[in-house]
Amino acid sequence: MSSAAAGSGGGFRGEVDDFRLALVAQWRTLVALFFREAEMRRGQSFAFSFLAYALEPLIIIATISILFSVLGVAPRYGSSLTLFLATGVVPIYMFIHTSMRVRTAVAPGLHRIRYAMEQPLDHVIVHAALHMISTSIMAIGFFGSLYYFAGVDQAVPFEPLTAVKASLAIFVMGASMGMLNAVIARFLPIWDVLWPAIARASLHFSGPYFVAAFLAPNVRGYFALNPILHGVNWFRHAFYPFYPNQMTDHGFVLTVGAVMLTAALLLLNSSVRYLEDKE
Amino acid sequence: MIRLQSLTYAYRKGAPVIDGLTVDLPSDRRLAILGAQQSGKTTLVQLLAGLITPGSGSIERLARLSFPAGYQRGFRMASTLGQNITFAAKIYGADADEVIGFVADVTGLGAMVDRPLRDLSVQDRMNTSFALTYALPFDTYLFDNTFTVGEPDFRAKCLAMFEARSRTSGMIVATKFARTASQFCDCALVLIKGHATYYDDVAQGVAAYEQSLPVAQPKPAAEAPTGA
Repeated sequence: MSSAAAGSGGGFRGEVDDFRLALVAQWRTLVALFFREAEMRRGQSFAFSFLAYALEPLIIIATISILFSVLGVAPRYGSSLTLFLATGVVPIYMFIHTSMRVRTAVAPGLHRIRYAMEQPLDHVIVHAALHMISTSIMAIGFFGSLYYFAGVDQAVPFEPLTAVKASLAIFVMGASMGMLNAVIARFLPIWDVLWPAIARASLHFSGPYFVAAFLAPNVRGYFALNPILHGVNWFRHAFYPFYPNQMTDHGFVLTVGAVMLTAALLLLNSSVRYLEDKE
Repeated sequence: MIRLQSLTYAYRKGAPVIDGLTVDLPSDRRLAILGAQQSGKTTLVQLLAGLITPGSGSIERLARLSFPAGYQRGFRMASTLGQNITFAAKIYGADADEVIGFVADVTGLGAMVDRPLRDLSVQDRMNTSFALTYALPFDTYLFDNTFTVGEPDFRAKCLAMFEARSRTSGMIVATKFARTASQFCDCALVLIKGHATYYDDVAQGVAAYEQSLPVAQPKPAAEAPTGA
């Protein structure tokens, strides 16, 4: 995090003043970074560029909906195929894109192209926040459109708070994975190519097209190891009040998220000097 | 005050450039960091600025230190000149409009404020970075080898800004030129082979530095008076 000026005197009062100054400096840096990065994408400047990431899940939902409709595939749960797919794809892409966006926040050579006030964790926080906002705007716009224009009543969450909680849990896992990716990629450069492919492939194992509780018992145990699948089920509970909850372990999602976040912060902090040397 | 405690820095697979440096540096005076080429001056300035991380040891900054004057790596070429200045002003707690006005006035680039930075010439970007350094309010300004740049009239402006800032702030000037240290500084940190000695009187520091120079090395008397 950013260092701040000190020297406002000794004693407890001085320390409190220093802490307050540090917080102010930290907030200033985060706000300035937020507005700069909101207009940047891959080094290029254009307004609302952070919304560009939101397009991919919409395209995925649209293409799978069209494909399944043409093939005559019925929704595995509920009456709307598009809503069922969207309640799977949106949280999964929350994870995928957060992990990728946060990875770019800790880009190679970042320490060479920054002011001293900008620390890697500042970039992580800002990029994660921007992605959270863009995904939220996209999700609200999409589910709202399904409700207003397509007449899908269930598109308005039955329990909005559940949707928020599930999204936050998945978001934490995505942000943590992004930080871990940044560290892994410095040791294994090909990871930057592998991870997007692995993440997108994992889409199919996280329950966008199926109800995990309806899987055959012999494979259910393997799928239960996937925390994103639990997150998707959690998210779907917000839309479907009677969604089968046999494979929705909130504690598992939160524990995995907490472990990933702790590991990511520790690794990022302890490898700063190594990463500088590598570059 | 800047407290360096057992500060060590080595580039990868190299011997330490800074080796176990423990010293208190004044942040409100004109301090020269004197050292020959490859003695670790730039490394120490970057460490003080927080641009690189010490291998071991710590730096306690009891003052607001600038980035090295003329530092351009915080710039984004795709952003406009105004956006770049605004960003720097915001993170360093200055009024963005005032800073833009100051930089535009000093550099004469007022008409370019809304143009992407990449549209500016290399010289204009350099001038901007120096003007920006002097425009921001720091307790201590850092200089790595130079504190002026560009055409004679801009160099004169830089010198005037240096003098003006040094009346209210500290200055840390890394240089290999003894004359620059004597002319612009009043105390010195002399770097010799990874080790450093602080002198409260710059004359003593300069004498120790000159004594350390190899006999074959040309006398550093021909340098520009600005330290460039």
